[in-house]
Amino acid sequence: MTPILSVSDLKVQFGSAENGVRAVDDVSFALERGETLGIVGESGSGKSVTGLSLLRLISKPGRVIGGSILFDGRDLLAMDEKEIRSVRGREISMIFQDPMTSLNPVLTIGRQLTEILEVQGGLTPGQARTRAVELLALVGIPSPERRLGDYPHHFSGGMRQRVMIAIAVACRPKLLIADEPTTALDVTIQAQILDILKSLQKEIGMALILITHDLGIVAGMADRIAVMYGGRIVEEGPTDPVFEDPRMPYTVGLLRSTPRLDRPEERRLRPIRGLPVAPRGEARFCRFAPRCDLVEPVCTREAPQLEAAGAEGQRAACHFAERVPELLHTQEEAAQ
Amino acid sequence: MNPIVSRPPLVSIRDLKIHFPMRSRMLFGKPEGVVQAVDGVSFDIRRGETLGLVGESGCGKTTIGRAILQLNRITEGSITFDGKDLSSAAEPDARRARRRVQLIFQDPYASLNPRMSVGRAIAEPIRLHGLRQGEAAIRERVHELLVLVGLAPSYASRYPHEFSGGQRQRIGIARALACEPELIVCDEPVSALDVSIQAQVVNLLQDLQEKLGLTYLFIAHGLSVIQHISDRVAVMYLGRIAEIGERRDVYGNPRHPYTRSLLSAVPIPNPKLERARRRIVLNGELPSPLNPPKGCRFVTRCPIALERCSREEPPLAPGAHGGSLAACWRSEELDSLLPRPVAA
Ligand SMILES: Nc1ncnc2c1ncn2[C@@H]1O[C@H](COP(=O)(O)OP(=O)(O)OP(=O)(O)O)[C@@H](O)[C@H]1O
Ligand SMILES: Nc1ncnc2c1ncn2[C@@H]1O[C@H](COP(=O)(O)OP(=O)(O)OP(=O)(O)O)[C@@H](O)[C@H]1O
Ligand SMILES: [Mg+2]
Ligand SMILES: [Mg+2]
Repeated sequence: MTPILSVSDLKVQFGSAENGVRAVDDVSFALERGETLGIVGESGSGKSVTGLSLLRLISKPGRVIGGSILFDGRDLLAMDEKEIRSVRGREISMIFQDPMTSLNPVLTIGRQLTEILEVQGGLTPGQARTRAVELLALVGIPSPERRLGDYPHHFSGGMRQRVMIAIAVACRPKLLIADEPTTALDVTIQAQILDILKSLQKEIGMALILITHDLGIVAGMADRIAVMYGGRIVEEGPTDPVFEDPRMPYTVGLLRSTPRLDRPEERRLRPIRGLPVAPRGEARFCRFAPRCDLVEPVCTREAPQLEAAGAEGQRAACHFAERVPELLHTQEEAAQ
Repeated sequence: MNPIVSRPPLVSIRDLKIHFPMRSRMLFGKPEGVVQAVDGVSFDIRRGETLGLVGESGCGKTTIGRAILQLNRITEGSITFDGKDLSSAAEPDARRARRRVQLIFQDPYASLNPRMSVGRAIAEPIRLHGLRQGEAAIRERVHELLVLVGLAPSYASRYPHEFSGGQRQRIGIARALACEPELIVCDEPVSALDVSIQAQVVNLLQDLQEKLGLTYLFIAHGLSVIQHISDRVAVMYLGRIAEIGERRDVYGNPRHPYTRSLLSAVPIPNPKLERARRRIVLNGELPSPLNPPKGCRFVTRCPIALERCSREEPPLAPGAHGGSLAACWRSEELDSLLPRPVAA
C-alpha cells in the first residue's frame, strides 16, 4: 500500500536565502494510513513549521522553497488555492499549538461545529446538529446537547481542547496534525485528551502526526518518531529502537536531560551543553556539532545525511551513527 | 539520624488559610463569594532541604509561596520563619525576613527591567540591603554572582533581551542570590525551558544548594522534576495538602489516590513501559475553589470514594506502617484498590 503522506526534501525559509532562518531543511518522511508519527525536538527546531507547511499555511515572510508533499497520491504543493482549501479540514486537519487562535470567541461551539459539518461535510442543518452532539459526546463533553449554545470562554482549558479535537475530526480526516495538543493542560487532563485522540484514531482510522517536546507522550502514542534539530530530522524510526538504541547524539542528549519517573535513583541529569542556534543558510556542517560530545573535525566540514543506522527502518543523521553506542560507552568509562 | 531532621525547621506553616473575596463587577459590589485558595494547610520546611510542592493548576501552590514571601495577606493561621511569626513580627524583623526569603519564577523576563543592564539589576538588591559597601565591592560581588550561576562577568553590561530563556533564568537566580537568602521559593523555575536547558538549570540549583546551604521550596506541575530535585514532597489538591512525606515514600508508595492518579498520568519516555502501564483515569475536572466539595475535597474525582468521603473530611495522618502522611479514609487499603506507580 502507498503511504498516505510522503514528504521529500521539504525546505521552508523565513526571510532571505543567505540570512533568513531555514526553519525546515531537507525534511523527508512518510506516513502509512492509520499510523502515528511523533515529531519531537526543542523549541525552534521546526516542528510547527513542518506541520503548517503540510496544510500550506506558511505565510510571509516564510515560504516553501523546495521539496514535495504527496498526500494520498496528490502533490499538495502543486495544488491551487481552491483545491488546497478543499483538503484542509476535510482530509487533513490540524489542532493548533495556540488554542485561543483557533476557536472563534464570538460564535457558539455548536455554530462552529455545524458550520464545518455543513460547509465541508455537506450535511443538512439537521444532520449537522445531530452529528455535532455525537462529536461532543465522543470527546467526553458531559451533556453535549446543552453545551452547543455555549461560547468558548464558558469552557475550561481541557474542555476547550476537547472541542477543538471535535472540530478537527468532524469530517473524519485521513490525517490529523496535533501540535502540542496537551502542553497547556494538567497531567490528569492530558491523559484524558491523549486517550480520546487514541480512540478517535482507531474509530476513524486516521493517521496522526503528534508534535510535542515531551518524549514521554510520544513513547506511549507513536508508532514512529522523528527527532528534529535545527530544522532537520536528525533521527527517525520505529519508536522502540529510537528510544532504546538511539543513533544520533542529540537523541541521546534529550533522553539524558529528561528527568523520569522510572529512574528515581538518578540524582543528576546530564544536560546538553550550550544553546540551540536558529539555523541560517545552507547546512554545510552538522548543526548539532557545537553541542555534541562526540564531535570530530568532519562534523564541522560536512553535513551528515539521514541514513539507515541501527534497527530496521531506523535512520540517523550522524557521521558516526553506526558507532554511537560504542563511542558513548568508551566516553562513559573514561569519565569514571 | 539525619542531621536535617534534628534541627528546628526554617519555616513552619500552621492551619494556613488564604481566601480571596470575589467582588461583583460593579463598584462597591458585595463579595460574591470567596476563593478558598489555601484552606487549612500545615507543613514545615527544614533547613537545607528541598521541599517539592506539586499539584494541578489553581490548587494554591503560588499562593502559599507568595505568603511565605509576605506578598499575600494571611486570612487565618500562621507562618513562622526561623522562629518568628511573620504576621505578628515587628516591621524590622519582617523586613529582615523578606531579604532572607527570595523568589525565582517561571518567567524571569517579567521580573527584569528591560532598560536596566544585567549588572545593575543584580547590584540593586545588594545596594538596597547594604550587603556590600562601595562601588568596587558591589561590582566585584556582581561578577562573583554571575560566575556562580555560570555566566561570564562580561554579561554585566548587557540587557535582558540579549539572553535566551535559560540564561535569563540564570540572571534571575543571580539576582535572588544577591540578597544572600536562606530560603528560595522556586515557582515553576524550569517549566518554560526546553529539556536540555531545563536540565542545566536544575543542576545549577542543586549545585548552589550544596555550595551555599540553601533551602528550597520548589513548586512545579511536573512530577518528574519534583521527584528529581526534592527531599520531601507535598501534593496539593484544591487548597489542601493531600499527601506529604519523604520523596521515596510519596513516589514509591503513595497513600493518597490523587497522588497515585497523578503519578499514573505522567508519561514516561520508555515505550515498553508505557504500553504496559495502567492509568488511573480521574472523573471530570477540578471543582471551583469558590465552591469546593464538602467532606474530602477530592471526592468528586476520586475513583474509590465512599459515601463517608462526601460527609467527613479525612485528616492528614500517618499509616500503620509509617510512610507519608495522607488525607484519605482508605489509604490503608489502597494497595488492593489501585495500582502502585512504576517508580516503586
Ligand atoms: N512567522 C515567522 N517569522 C519568522 N521566523 C519564524 C516564523 N515562524 C517560525 N519561525 C522560525 O522558524 C523556526 C522554527 O519554528 P517552529 O515554530 O517550527 O518551531 P517549533 O519546533 O514548533 O518550536 P516550539 O517547540 O517552540 O513550538 C524558528 O527558528 C522560528 O523562529
Ligand atoms: N489575588 C487573587 N485574587 C483572587 N483569586 C486569586 C488570587 N490569587 C490566586 N487566586 C486564586 O486562588 C487559586 C489558587 O491560585 P494559585 O495561583 O495559588 O494556584 P497554583 O497552584 O499556583 O496554580 P498554577 O499551577 O496554575 O500556577 C486559584 O483559583 C486562583 O484563581
Ligand atoms: Mg511549535
Ligand atoms: Mg502557580
